[in-house]
Amino acid sequence: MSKISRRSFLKLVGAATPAILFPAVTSWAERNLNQGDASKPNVIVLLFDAMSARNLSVYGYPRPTSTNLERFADHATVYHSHYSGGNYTIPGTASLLTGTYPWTSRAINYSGGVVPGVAENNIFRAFGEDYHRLAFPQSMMANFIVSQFKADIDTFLPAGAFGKLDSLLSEYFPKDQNLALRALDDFMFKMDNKPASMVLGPVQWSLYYRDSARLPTEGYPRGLPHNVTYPLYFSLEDLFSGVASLIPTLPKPFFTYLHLYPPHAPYRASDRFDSKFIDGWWPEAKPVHRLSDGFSESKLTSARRSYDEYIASLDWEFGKLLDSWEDAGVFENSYVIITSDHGEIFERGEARHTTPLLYDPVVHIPLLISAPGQKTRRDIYAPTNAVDILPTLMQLTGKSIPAESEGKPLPGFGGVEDFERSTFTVEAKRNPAFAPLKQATVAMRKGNQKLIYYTGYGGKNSFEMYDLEKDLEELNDLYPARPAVAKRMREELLETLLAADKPYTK
Amino acid sequence: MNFSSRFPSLKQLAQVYSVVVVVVYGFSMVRFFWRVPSLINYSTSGQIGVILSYMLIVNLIESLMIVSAPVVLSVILPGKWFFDQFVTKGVLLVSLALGYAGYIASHINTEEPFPYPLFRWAPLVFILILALVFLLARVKFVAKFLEWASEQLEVFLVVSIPLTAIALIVVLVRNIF
Repeated sequence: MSKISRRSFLKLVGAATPAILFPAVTSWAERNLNQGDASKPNVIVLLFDAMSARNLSVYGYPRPTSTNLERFADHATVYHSHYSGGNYTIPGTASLLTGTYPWTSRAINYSGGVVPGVAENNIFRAFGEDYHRLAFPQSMMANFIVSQFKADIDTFLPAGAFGKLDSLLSEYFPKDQNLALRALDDFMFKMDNKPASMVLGPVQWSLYYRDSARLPTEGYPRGLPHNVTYPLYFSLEDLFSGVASLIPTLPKPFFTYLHLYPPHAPYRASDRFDSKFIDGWWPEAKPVHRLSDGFSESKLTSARRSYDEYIASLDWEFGKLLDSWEDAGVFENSYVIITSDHGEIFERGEARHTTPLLYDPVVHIPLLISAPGQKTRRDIYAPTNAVDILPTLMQLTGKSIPAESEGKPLPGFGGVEDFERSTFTVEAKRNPAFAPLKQATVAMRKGNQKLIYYTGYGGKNSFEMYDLEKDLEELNDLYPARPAVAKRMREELLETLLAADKPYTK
Repeated sequence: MNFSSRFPSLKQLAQVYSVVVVVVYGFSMVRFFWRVPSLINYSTSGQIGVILSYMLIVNLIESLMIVSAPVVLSVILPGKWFFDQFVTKGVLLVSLALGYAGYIASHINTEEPFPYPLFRWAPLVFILILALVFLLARVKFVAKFLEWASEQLEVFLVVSIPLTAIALIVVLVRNIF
């Protein structure tokens, strides 16, 4: 081989220098020239999956489940009648991120998604490129929705970030994550069904179970928190310290959507709170609903206690997060929004949220918003809905609200307390997404009244109506007793449902 | 030692591979069609096609892994042991091995503990499978039947290979651009 001459060497260096420097220069330019106006407020949405407002002491629950949320509430606006758009993660998350009800986004089925026309108006796109947009959908169902918007997200943290163990294959397909998730993690290698992959499926399962059995479970008497249907283990400590360390590193201004899996089942309280609520307190017994699973009162009470203990464990870690954000001055220039995608029920024979029952424990979710520099608490009692988050944030950050949004700016943040407004929660998971809703439950909140409509469950369609000011436990069905109010609300609900179905009616 | 002389011909390989394809692709396909009624509830036909593509790629990897076992045995063992009856012994080996894999797969669900004992017995089961392969291959009508059957199954390659090729292009394009 001939030696390289001095001239050739210089040519090589000359040619290589821009090639070496160019990526560095462009990445510097991307980092600095595209950086937005740091004086704009940051926005942090911290969502706890399956957190019912009815089980939080900050909303008057008798058990001290959320002392740190109470501390947060001292400098926040607390919404007392905030409702989810759906009763499980797919519709609940889609409502929040698109500002539309499930009957519009059509995100109604397990593993379902948002229809393209609605997906284009997602919250990440609405924030625009002058915000650094980060998403962390730790819940896999949230991943189904959020990964649809990946093109509008600057940093997409995989579900396994801050986790102890995960074996999600879709993470290896960053350019096609949504469909890789559906094809591989939700079909070929799904953990709650027999694997569709005959050879690699059992191999993947055996490796995952072997590794998960080796995980240290210190601090968690009932085992580490994990996802049941997808391979993901984590500890609350790691999760919250990860989130705490993440925020100060982000380029400003930023919008983060942090969808944390706890307190979703399985409930895995830390040793500090495990068995803490063996306190002799029993909630009021309620009649078993015909559409429930028919669980016994003792089973419901036991499940509720585990759930409460898990919330308290989570709240403890949230307290540490609060401290770190306070120390880092995060609250001085950020809107911090605490909410959930849906609740959880432990009454009337039902112990879950994927239920046709839309009583308040399933649909009444927390919403607390701390504005930059806010020092005092404010309480809002007018009904609000998850679809209001997107228009509110657009208004607060000076962006235009997508015309398709079905929400309104929240009272206290540009909106007014409107007790006459109707908000909706929709459950229709067994209904085809692209067809009229034939089997569904719809809950409509208007002022203090709540109307629940059941259709397609066998037997006649039925309604229930409650006055939540006088009957918070929804025990006294006023539908037959107040025919005039019932008729007015029924007509409005059915008309709205008919209008939502119209594009899918042949 | 001349290993290449014990490498099966394309025809022999196709016969064994077709058995693998029928079982491996068929297993996933049954579950896919079981899933389709729910998929069409919330997915477009294009999305369903992409999901099918990923499935076919996984099946391709699985089937190539499985078919490599008889090929390796044919190459490393003396010709009389395996190569001389490659189709018969290859079909027996992959059928029995896939039967065991299917048995394990059917015992997996989240309601019960993971069936580790089935994995622990695997070495013994594979020795048993190898013994069965050598024993059954001596039975003439078994050998004849397997050769005939695997030849009939070759027709599935005409469907699976082009479909998998399209799937490969789909998955590559979606992950490159």
